[in-house]
This record gives sequence, C-alpha cells and structure tokens, in this order.
Amino acid sequence: MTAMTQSIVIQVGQCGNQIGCRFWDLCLHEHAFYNEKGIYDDAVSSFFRNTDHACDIPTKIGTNQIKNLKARAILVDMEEGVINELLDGDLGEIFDNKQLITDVSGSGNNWATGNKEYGTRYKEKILDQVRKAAELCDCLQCFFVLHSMGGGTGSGLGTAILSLLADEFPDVYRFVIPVYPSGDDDVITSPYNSVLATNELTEHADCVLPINNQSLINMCAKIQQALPQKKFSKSAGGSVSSGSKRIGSDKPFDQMNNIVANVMLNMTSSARFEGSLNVDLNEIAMNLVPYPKLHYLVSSISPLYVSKDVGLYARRLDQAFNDLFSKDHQLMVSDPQRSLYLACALMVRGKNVQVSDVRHNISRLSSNLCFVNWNHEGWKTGLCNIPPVGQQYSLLALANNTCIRHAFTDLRTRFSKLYSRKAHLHHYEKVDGFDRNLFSESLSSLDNIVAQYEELEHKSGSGTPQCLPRIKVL
Amino acid sequence: MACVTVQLGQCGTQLGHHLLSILHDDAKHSSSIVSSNANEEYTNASLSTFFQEAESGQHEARSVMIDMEAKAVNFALQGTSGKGWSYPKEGQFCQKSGSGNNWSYGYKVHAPQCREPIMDMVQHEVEKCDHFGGFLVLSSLAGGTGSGLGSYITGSLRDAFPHASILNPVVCPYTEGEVAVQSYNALLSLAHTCDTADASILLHNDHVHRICEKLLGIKHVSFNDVNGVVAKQLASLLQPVTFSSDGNLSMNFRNVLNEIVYTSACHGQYTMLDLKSIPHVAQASVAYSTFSWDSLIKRIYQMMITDFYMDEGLDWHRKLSVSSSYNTGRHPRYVSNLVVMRGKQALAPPESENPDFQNPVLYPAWIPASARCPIWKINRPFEKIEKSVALLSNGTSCVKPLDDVVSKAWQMYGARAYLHQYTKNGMEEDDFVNAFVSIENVISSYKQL
Repeated sequence: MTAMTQSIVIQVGQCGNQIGCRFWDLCLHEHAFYNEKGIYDDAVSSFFRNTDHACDIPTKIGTNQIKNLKARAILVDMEEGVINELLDGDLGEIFDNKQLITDVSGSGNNWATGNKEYGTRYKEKILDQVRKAAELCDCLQCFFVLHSMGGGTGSGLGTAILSLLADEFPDVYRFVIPVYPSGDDDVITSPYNSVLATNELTEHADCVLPINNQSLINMCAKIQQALPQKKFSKSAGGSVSSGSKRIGSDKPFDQMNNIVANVMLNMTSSARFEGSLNVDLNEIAMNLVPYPKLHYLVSSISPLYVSKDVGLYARRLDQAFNDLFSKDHQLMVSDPQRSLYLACALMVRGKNVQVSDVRHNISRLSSNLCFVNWNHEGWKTGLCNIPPVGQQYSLLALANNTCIRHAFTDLRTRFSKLYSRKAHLHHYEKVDGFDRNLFSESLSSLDNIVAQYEELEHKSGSGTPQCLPRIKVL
Repeated sequence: MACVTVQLGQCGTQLGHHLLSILHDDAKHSSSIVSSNANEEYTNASLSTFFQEAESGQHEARSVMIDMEAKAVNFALQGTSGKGWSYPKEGQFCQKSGSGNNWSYGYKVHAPQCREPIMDMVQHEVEKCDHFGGFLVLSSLAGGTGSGLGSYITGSLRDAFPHASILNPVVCPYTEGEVAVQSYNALLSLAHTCDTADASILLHNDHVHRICEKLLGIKHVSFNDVNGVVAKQLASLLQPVTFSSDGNLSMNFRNVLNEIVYTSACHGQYTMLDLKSIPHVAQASVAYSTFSWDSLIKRIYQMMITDFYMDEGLDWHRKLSVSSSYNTGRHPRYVSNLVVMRGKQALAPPESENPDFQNPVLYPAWIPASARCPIWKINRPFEKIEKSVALLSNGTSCVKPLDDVVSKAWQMYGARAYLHQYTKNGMEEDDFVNAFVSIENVISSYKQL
C-alpha cells in the first residue's frame, strides 16, 4: 500500500541552488547507502521520481528497480552560471532540463526586479513546472523553498514563487529556508531586499527556518578547530556536515551549505524512514506555530563532527544534547537560552537512541530553558531509527523562540540607515509594478512581529503566574 | 464471545500489536499448573475472543487497523511473520498523509472522508463473529489521528452498534512533552469519548516508564518496552476468567468486555478507569521468582488505598480510618473496583488475613456492598507468572490526570495559542468551551464521591 508523502524542492538564485546542490548530493548518498537492493521504495520516492531512460514515464512506487532517478526539484536562476555548473557536475543527471528556469541578466541585487519583473515574466512558466512536478507526486505534502534574502533573484523571485504556491496549492505546506545576510554583507541593498522579502515570508510561508551566513561560518571554523589538521589521519573524525566520504570539500561554500542540507535531511528523516515516534512535516507546522505569523524557527544541529571514539557514546549523546542548545550550534546568530521558547521540536535520528534518552535529556535541559507560561511542556519529539550516513546519531532542534526578534531588530537598524537617507530607492521604484508603499508596509510587518515576540516575553514569561480562573461547574 | 480490536493511529497500532501478540502467546502456552482440559478451554476461549481461525488453520486477529499514514501499520503487518497469527487481509485502512497532531484535522477533515470505508471494514469484521461481544478501541490522546479521527470513529461505532460494549484504553502522553498541543488533543478526545464509549481506561506513559525503569531494570526504556508493559496489563485484564468459584473444571467464560463494562462503568458519568497490575518481573527473573497470594493481595490492596501505580515505593503507613463515612480527601474514593486473580490456587488461596476490598470507607453510600469490588479468579496462570493480580478501578485516580489536562489546556486557550490551527479546519471556539465544561463536570463528579 502506498504510504509516504512527497516533497518538492524549489531552489532559487545562486545561494538557493548551491544549498540545493549539497542537499541533493547528501540525500542521494543517504538513500543509496540504505537502499542496498536499489528498489524504488516509498523512502526514495519522497524526493525522487524513478523514470525510464528512454522516455520520461515515471514508474510506480513499489518493488521496481531504480532505473534513473530524477529529483523532485525546480531550479530557478536569472543567471546561468550556477545552474550550468550544477548540470555539468556529478549531479547533473538527476535534474531534468524541463525543471530548469533560467535567464541571463540577473536581478542586479534588486528585490523589485526579482519579484515584480521576473515574477511576472516567469509566472506561467514556473507554475507550469510546479504543476507538472505536483502531478507526478502521489501525495504532495510539502514545498521546500531555498533562497537567500540579501540579493535580488533568490529574495525577490523566490518570494514571488512562494506567493504563487500559496495561491495555487493552499493545502501544501510551504517551508522556506532563507539565508539572511550577515552584518558585513557586501551587497549594499541587502537590508532592503531582506525586509521586503521577510514581509512575504510572514504572509505566505507556513514555517521559516532562517539561516545566517555568519553562524555557518562560525560553525565551520569550529569544525576546523576540532578536527586534526591532517585530512587523512586515521584517528581523525569527519565533519558530519560533509558526510563521511567527503572530508574537506574544496568548494568555498560547500561545508557551510552542507550544514543547511543536513537540517533538511534530518527534518525529513521521519517522513522517509521508520522510527518509534514518527514526526511528519505537518506536525512540525502544527506544534511549533501557536500564532499564525510567528512561524520563524531557529534551527540547531548536533553533533557537528564525529569522533571515532565510540566508547564515549553515552556521554557524547548527553553532550550532543547540551550542544544543541548552545549558541554555537544555532544556524541563526542567536542565544535561545536567554530568551523565551514558545515551543521546540527535537528530532533525533539514531539506531540506539530511545525515548528514555530523549526524555532524560529534556528533563535535564528544561531547567535551563525558559518556556512561555502556557506551554511549559512545549516539546515535540521525534525518533527516527535511521541515522545519517557515517554517524551513530544526529539531533536537530527547531525552536520557536523570541530571540529571533533581535535578528529582526538588527536588520531593521541596517534598513533604517539606508532608508532614512532614501538611499538607492530609485532602483526599486523604477521597476514596473513596485509600489513605494511596500517599503513602509514591510517595515510595519517586521515591527509587528518583533512587537508580538516582545509582548510574549513581557506578559507570558515562564515565571509569570497564570491568572485565568477555571470554569466552575456545580 | 468475540471482541473486535480497533487500533487507531500509530500508538493504537503499535500497542494493539503488542496486545494481540501477548494474548495469542499466553493463550497458546500450556501451563503445568492446571489440567490439560483447563488449558485447552482457556486457549479456546481466549483465541476465539480475539482471533478467528482461518481456513488455513492460522489465527487471524479480529482487528481493524486505522492510520492516516502507513508506516506503523506496515511495521505491524511485517511483525507477524513467524508468530503463528496474522492480521486479516482487508483489515487495514491507511491514507497517505497523517493528521499533523491536529485533533480537528483528524475529526473534521479525515474522519468524515474515511468514515464509510472504515465502518465497512468494521462491519465485515463484526459479521465474522459468531457471538459479537464488543469493541476494544486503542488510541493515544496526544496525536491527531488516534485522538481526533478516533473520537469520531468511536462515535460512529456507538451509532452503528448501540448495544455493543465499547472499552477504550487510551494512552496519556508523558507529562513532559511528546507533543506541544497534547493537552488540547487530550481534552477534546476525552470530552467526546466520555459520552460515546462505555468506559475509558487511562494508561499513563509516565507510570509505565517508571515501572520499566524501577521494576524491570531497563536502563534505556524504549516505546517497545512501554508498549510491552501496557499490553501485558491489558491482557491480564482481558484474558478469560471463570464464572464458577468452586474450582469446577467445566467452566463458562464470561464475556469479558460486557462484564467489565457492567461491573466497572455502569454509573452514568463515571467512565474513567484506572488499571494496576502486579507483579512486573523481568523475563530473565521469572524462573527465580516466588509469589504468594498473601503478599500479592496485600500489595494490590495498598496500591488501591494509596492510589499508587507500582508496588515498589509504596507508602505502607497509610491505613484507612475505620469510621469515616465521607470523603476526608486523605484516601481515594471509588465507584467500583475489580480484582482479577490469575494463577496457582487462585480459586482457593490459603487462608490469610484478607484485606477488606469492600471497606465502606472507600465507597459512597449509594453503592451496594455486593457491587463494590467483585473478585474474579482463575487457576490458570497468565504468561507463565505463577500468580498475578490486576485491579481495575473506577474512582478518583482519574482526577489528577484530568485536572492536569484541563489546567494546561485552559492556560493555552486563555493565551489563544494554537487556536488558528484548530479553527481553520472548521472547529469553533464553542467546541473548546464545551469540551472544557464536559471534563470539568467529570472531574467534579469524581471529586464529590
């Protein structure tokens, strides 16, 4: 009987496609590792379709051999460089030509160009591709949209696509993984692009997992520090971010992007493999979003690197849980322990990790974490039996935490620095379809979210007593 | 008397699987403590209740498994290979996408769509029974399918089979989070099933977890372990018991489900049951353990009067005061209790000071003495354990767990948290308020005992 659901990945712009590339590489690797017989089963079908070489007729999920896998992906970029490189590489075969939508001139780091100009021009073509990909799914559950926030294509066209998905497929969950620029980003207009795009994410996404480049850089530095210098030393562990066989990838952003790819893999592991406590993507959206617009989830992953010292398993597992909540492991620069948790999902992958290990650690860590007073036990836990390749276990936390407001406030400050001088506004205003009010609207939206998070901190901090009297019955 | 097991959602499926395994294996095992006749009669009675002998000679569970996504069901189906029993071919209903831990999605969206095929499956299974005795509906409270879809289906079962007994063991999640919205889901489920099921047995993950740790010595408790213990407790309640109290070999077996409902849950609004059982012995230690009825009875009695779920860490200092005829709040109060003794010489245990299970201090005056605490017995032991005893209580044990659920759900409701997730599927705030009122009423009734 058919079982699992499928997801479609839509990668937009240079950053989105580079992350996407790492994701597909690791995903393929994972399924190849666990699917020894090469059967096209439910797990593989969640992200791939199986086709015959000669014609593009997809084969049914079941007991057929894997012939030719195609990723359930749509690749969009307004410049050809990155996508071409992708197609030339090892992964080229898993992408169908028809799944690519490219142009040549780029978006000039201009959200308005990406969103309004290209958004309009390519709307039909994109919708067409998405519809086709959706038809090839037995039961489409979720879209993953990957893009950066600071540029023009990912940020502008990416959010235009998000809006299209919301209209055309209202019942399919939309998870967005946007990469926010660091403070020292060299694109001057990145604050504009980020704020304009954030507004769209607030309106149209179900869940957003914001990532910050600086965090990824820090995490990679940490990995480098922890591992011995020699690449092929026997006692070395491996950077889990790159998978056991790919120590020291040489492309510059690869190691960083691998971390993000691992988040995606972990998040979807329950949907792809079995476990004693399955967590589906719709459950994540349900448990972590108590108020519709507050759907920004800070993600953290642990461990970052694997030590070959297997004897330290138990202690290491506890340590991995500790690390998960430390600020060094957050993919968005933030310190959730200092702020208020609205809810937190804990997704654990591993053969030997049992519910008691998870419970014991939640108990232990809870005392250091502040949960909102109406959700003291606001945990959502998941256990998947299958660990990532080359690891014994992997932990992912997705936290709806008020610390995100600090990131937004920083963004707002950078935005205001430009906006107060009306710097570069004309680039945006000259784009057809762009309304100058969008700036103030987007800013309002951002302020509103920050205010909501702040209010929760003041009114519903975990120490705040409950004052609502119960219903009295006779 | 045949009983159809309805396994709802991942928990219901997994727990049901363990339960059926244990029922089957216990039934098949031959005990040296009773005659081969007695063994055979026990085996037949048990197997015919929960299984049906197919033409091939294999036993097929009288079960319907329902889940909105198929992983757990598939796992259960695979889990019967080489076990001597299997699931009926057409007895599983799955959809492609789960309920997202959303009670309203399970109840308002999935359930109406799936109702017909599910009820057809149930009807088919019921028709296979020569003498249909009722439903055992297994689900958890925390999720979306077992709780939401489950509540709807329990209602449909009640509508379609108004005179059947419906016993609803439900799993209460760990207090410290499995699911963030578990309090809402639990509240809504209990509010619905307290009207439709004859009785619910509240099973607590927290308690069972402690039993696994403390009594079974399991260091890394898994859901497998927890399900194993819960299933064992349920099986020790549901396996055959005799009518006769004189050791007569030709026994008639009770229709367990009907009898349980009639004994424990025949008083209107009092439908929340609690299950305790002893001993819990690790497999490896069974051969070395000795049991005495004296010790077991005293322990289960102390568990009853202190309302504690294990026989370790019991407060032995607590005794019942002789002459209080009203609730001093210092000890639990019951509408009914049911003691089930299984094992060597159960029907005629050696004389000893037997505690007074019918002590009037524990019961309100309007319960007649004879109805307070029936004791069922059978010489044939359960699961190779020489002597064991189960206690099914209908009383104030449910107050604290219900109170916790309401309290948390109410705070969440007050903050209007997660409401949009429920209302977007067609629920209204009134539905929540009604659920609160229902359960507050249940709590209040029990408190007034």
